[in-house]
Amino acid sequence: MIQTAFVQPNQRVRLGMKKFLELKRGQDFIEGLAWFSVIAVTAMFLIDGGLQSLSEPSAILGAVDRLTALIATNLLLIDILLIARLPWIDHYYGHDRATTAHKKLGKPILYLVLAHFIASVVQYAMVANVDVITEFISLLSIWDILLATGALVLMILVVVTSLNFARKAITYEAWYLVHIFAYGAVLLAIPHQFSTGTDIAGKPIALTYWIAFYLFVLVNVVWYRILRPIVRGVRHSLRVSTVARESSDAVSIYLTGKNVAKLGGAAGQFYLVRILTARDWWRPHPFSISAAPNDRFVRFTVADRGDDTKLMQSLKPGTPVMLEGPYGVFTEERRTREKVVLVAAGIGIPPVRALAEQMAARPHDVTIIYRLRDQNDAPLLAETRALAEKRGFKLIELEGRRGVGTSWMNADYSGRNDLHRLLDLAPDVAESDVYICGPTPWTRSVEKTMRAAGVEERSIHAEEFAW
Amino acid sequence: MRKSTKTAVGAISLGILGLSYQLGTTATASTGGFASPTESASAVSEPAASATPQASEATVAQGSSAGSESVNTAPQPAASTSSSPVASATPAPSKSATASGSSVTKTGDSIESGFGPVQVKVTKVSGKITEITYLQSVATHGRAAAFPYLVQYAIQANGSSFGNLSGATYTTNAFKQSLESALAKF
Repeated sequence: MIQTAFVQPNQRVRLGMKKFLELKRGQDFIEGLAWFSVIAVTAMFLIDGGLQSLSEPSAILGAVDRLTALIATNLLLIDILLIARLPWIDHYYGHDRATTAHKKLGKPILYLVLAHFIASVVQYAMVANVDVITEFISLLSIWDILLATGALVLMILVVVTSLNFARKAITYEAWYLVHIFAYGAVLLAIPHQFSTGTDIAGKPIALTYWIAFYLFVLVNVVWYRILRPIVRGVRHSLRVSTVARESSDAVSIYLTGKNVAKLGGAAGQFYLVRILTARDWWRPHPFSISAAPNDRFVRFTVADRGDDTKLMQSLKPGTPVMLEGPYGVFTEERRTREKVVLVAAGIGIPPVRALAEQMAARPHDVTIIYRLRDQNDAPLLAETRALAEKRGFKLIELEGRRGVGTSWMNADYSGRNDLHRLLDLAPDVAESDVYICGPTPWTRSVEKTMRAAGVEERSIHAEEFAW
Repeated sequence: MRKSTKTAVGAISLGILGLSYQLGTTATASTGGFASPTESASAVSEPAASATPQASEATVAQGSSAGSESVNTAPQPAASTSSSPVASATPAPSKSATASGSSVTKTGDSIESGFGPVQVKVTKVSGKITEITYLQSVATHGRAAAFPYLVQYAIQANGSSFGNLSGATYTTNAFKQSLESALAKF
């Protein structure tokens, strides 16, 4: 099935440096806010005399205990916001950058919490003049300390299962379930913060700050991760209408429902797709839309990668589906230049195909480079060709075996490197915005060539489908 | 973050932290008082295992009309079993000794801290707390050393709005609750 009824492309697009600067300003604002939240809790600690009269070891430990707890809690709340798929974070950073930051923060937070735990137990033991184990056991008799200890155990579990070696050893499903525990860890730790927290109890400013921060996170998570998807699920009641084969290992899944046009979004974005069957409803699958948003259907094109993408191949028409999103900044919103080069490899084609359909462009403004194994078995090739012809875009198909070394192109046996070949294929590349979608190592290789070709960093946009 | 923003943010942060530290140096000894007491350092060196006996009477009297009445010099043979290093131990009923008409005494609730029950009796003279007596003051694991400081802080603050004693947070909280329940009765 070839989708040839294309939507009208965007009629206008804002280009230029100013747009980029606005984006940077927004990012600086968010990062500044996050940074100053850490400064704020540290300042409250210092104003309270947190670093005064540290003449005794136990007092020093007490200060360590308090400060690590404050900073860890603050970072933990930021870490939850980063992964909560909040539209305002997604708009400025995109899902992948937010996720990377979320992963980076995980370990330092755990170290801080561990430091807090050790410092507090040792300090209490020193004050009580008993050994650490005895002190720890006596502390466990207090219920909120017991809960907090449970929170610590959960946190260790969450971080350890996310380390690379463990991530490879366990299934995605197991990891996902364990990660849900992180919310449990946050909740279990709350009672002891408010009942015993030296820096919260009896300090109205600190108390207000923490309650406000917790509520802010709670409202964001509950609304964007739970309520809004449900509300939208009910409003649109999307179902699988058709599953069409695109290649030997890929299918297009068409969803229809009520008010599809109101779903909004832009070409290049993705949804977290939940198949609402008893077996699969609980885990979302990220897929880019493979056709520009329109008023008839939502379409994903999915290749069988052996994992959870396998079940997509055999979806039955009529299956209800829930969407979270759309997310992502692999969109025209990030475009700042007139010329555009779209680069895709294999099943990286869907967002590129959608972008080509929706982008505001004059003929010859857009060049599409499609790296594929075999033109008789490449997903969405026919309609990409039809699009290119209709809009006057240049479509370059790099077909066949891979080139030597880290080449991201096909082998052409000419002995020329990717850079020279690229400059032949897309002479204007240095003055273009470049959109790249493919597997991570391939994407890195394309980015390298693009930089060598003189493409500015801010003009390189990449979407990876490694999850 | 862009470089220029980073520099600005860094400079501002250092400023805030420096200023906060300065403000902190003038902060009252609301914290850390337990771990590093300013007076009678012997308090901490008290053997940890000895739990303060239940219902030991310990009073810290301020030099007000009511407090001055009670005789501080006479050592109490029975109460001396208490290990809490209080400034003075007075006979339990100080209410009868008061000549001043404005002195009122109320008893707070008994609060379980997790380390033992805490209950206080509060005496006020013309709206000011002059005396706080423990009816119950049990705190195992060395927390008992906090009791005299709590009384001292509460009298200074004329209420429960003082910081926690780090290292004895639960005992502090129980003390404050009992104190507040007593104050609520005035």
